Amino acid sequence: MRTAEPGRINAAFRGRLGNFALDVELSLPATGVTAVFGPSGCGKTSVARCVAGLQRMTGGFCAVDGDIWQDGSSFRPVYQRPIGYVFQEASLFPHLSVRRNLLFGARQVARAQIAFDEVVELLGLAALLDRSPRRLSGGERQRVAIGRALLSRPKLLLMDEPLAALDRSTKDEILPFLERLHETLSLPVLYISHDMAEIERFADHLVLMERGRVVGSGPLHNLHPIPLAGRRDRHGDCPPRRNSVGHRTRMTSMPIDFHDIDPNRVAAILYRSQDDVDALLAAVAETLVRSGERIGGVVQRNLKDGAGCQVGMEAIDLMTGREISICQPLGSGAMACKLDAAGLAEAAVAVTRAIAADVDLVVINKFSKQEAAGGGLRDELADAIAAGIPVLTAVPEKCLDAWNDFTGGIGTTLLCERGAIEGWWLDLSSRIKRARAARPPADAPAALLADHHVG
Amino acid sequence: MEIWSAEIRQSVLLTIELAAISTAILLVLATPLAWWLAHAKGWWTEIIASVVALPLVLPPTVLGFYLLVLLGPDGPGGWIASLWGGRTLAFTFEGLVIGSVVYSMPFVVQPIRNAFAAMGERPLEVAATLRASPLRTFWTVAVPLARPGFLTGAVLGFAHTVGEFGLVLMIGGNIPGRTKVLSVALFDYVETSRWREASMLAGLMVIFAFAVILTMTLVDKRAARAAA
Repeated sequence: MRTAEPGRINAAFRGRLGNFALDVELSLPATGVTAVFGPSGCGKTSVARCVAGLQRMTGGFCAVDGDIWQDGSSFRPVYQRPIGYVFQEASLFPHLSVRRNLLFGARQVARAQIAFDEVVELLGLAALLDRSPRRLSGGERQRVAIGRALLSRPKLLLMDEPLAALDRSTKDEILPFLERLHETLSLPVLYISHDMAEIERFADHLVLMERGRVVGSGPLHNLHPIPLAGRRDRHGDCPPRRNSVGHRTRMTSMPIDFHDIDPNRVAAILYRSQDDVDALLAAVAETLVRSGERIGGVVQRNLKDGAGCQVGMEAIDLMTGREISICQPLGSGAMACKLDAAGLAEAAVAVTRAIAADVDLVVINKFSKQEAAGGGLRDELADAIAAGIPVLTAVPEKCLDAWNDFTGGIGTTLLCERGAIEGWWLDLSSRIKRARAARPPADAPAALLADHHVG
Repeated sequence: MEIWSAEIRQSVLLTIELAAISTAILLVLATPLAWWLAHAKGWWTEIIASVVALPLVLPPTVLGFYLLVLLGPDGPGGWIASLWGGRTLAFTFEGLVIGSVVYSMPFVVQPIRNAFAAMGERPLEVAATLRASPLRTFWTVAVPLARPGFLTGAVLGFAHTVGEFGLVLMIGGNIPGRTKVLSVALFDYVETSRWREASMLAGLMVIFAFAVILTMTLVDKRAARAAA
């Protein structure tokens, strides 16, 4: 796609990048917001930097709206490209006031497409104009940085994780501004992020990246099937990463190969406790059930009091939505909680019932010490696997050995990050939906889910 | 005031003139050098940096000896002097300026280099994405952000030039009105047992040194407050 097409962004970059190779070819519409999504370190920031010209990849190609910025023989320097770039950190000039920061890029532009006053109004900057950047909050700074980029009258706005360095409440403060931006301006935006929730709020197109490669690209609302098709084609050239019991487990740090996961059997997400992946699994599974998916299993959640202290644990039967049990805190000051024996027995019944109902997927959001020791849902997990129902669970890093002992080689272990899992979940849920739509009415084997079964 | 003699006045003025000219030349030469040292990545960068820093470690007399050879009638300095009909740059004011520039270079390059390195690539990248040419970026972003480095460099370069002795004695000699700067004059007074003049000059230097250090501290403090 090394041709410059009017109305499109064409780019191709190939080369070494840290410990993996960047090999990206893109043809995107030069309208609306295109989000580039992928786990940390997958090369999405590098793509933005290459497009901006901040990073020069020899032999690369870049053209925006028919205008060639880089090809085999030419390379237009950054300051001659009509871009706006918003970095993760606002990077305001500390020696200039907010007003002069805003006008730094505007100065050189004869006729601003959107006038200063409009940008100030759009981003709510009026009260900040004469302040020093040092006296602004993180959110205010990022708003000024966005305004500054807009005022340089770009033909393409590149935003590299503009919210990643901000806390949640500040993010919530800025997101509405970004949405307004999207509604008000016709400016094409390349939005780099590892947060699917941000992307879903205002992106029109999505590019999925993994390990320096594009694994899918298309309009946001029908993207999910596309990367899967792409993945099937590529499956052959990816090295197997499956772990089997008895071998020393090689932990895969990010980025992961999602196509390793065989949804017909067991997908275990190995996680670090601070990533709260178990809570994420619980939330998504419940959402899927509410939207009518045939998913069974049990999700467990920590109960916290107003001060955020763990006071117990509850389990919920996914099929009925019924609360199974609340259980005991472990003594004073102990953080760990677990289901009591009665709760566990009820949970086991819930899983058994789900297996009997031949659900499409069994989710048990925690495989922790209790389960590993056989005191939990271990047997029921094994039953589900034997019945051919895929099981999805999250395994804390420290329980890895127990998990490997238990699965006997059919499990897939991955160490990954929350953002990546969110993206993968979207894939998986759409796959389940499609398999369900194609499913014959009577007792179809769950193997129908196998739309990319690994033989 | 017989102590504030024409002789001393001459030395003071000569010293200030030497230091001012040297500092100006130093800033002009050190800025691109510091910029290059802060941004170049090759292995040779540190070799050049070490060469620039040599005067920090070398005894001034060693440096003075080489400069004397270079500036003398048989060196390149002699050739340059012949352009305006001179015979040598040694024992001239011009020679002293050259010597001072070489000698004080590390004191000026280092703070400016540190200031350029400390700001990182990001402000320059931001400026480039806002359509600022490299030259405009340099003047409107890099220089203002590196201002404390320039101030420190200038003050150190000036003070160091005022205080040098061994090098001046080697290449400048002791010619009143041309190369007899304060430090040499002081030495001269002591040699000839003119204690009153000597103590006057020494006192002057102490006050000057104190003022320099105080200025630097205040500049540093201001920079730190500005960065907070």
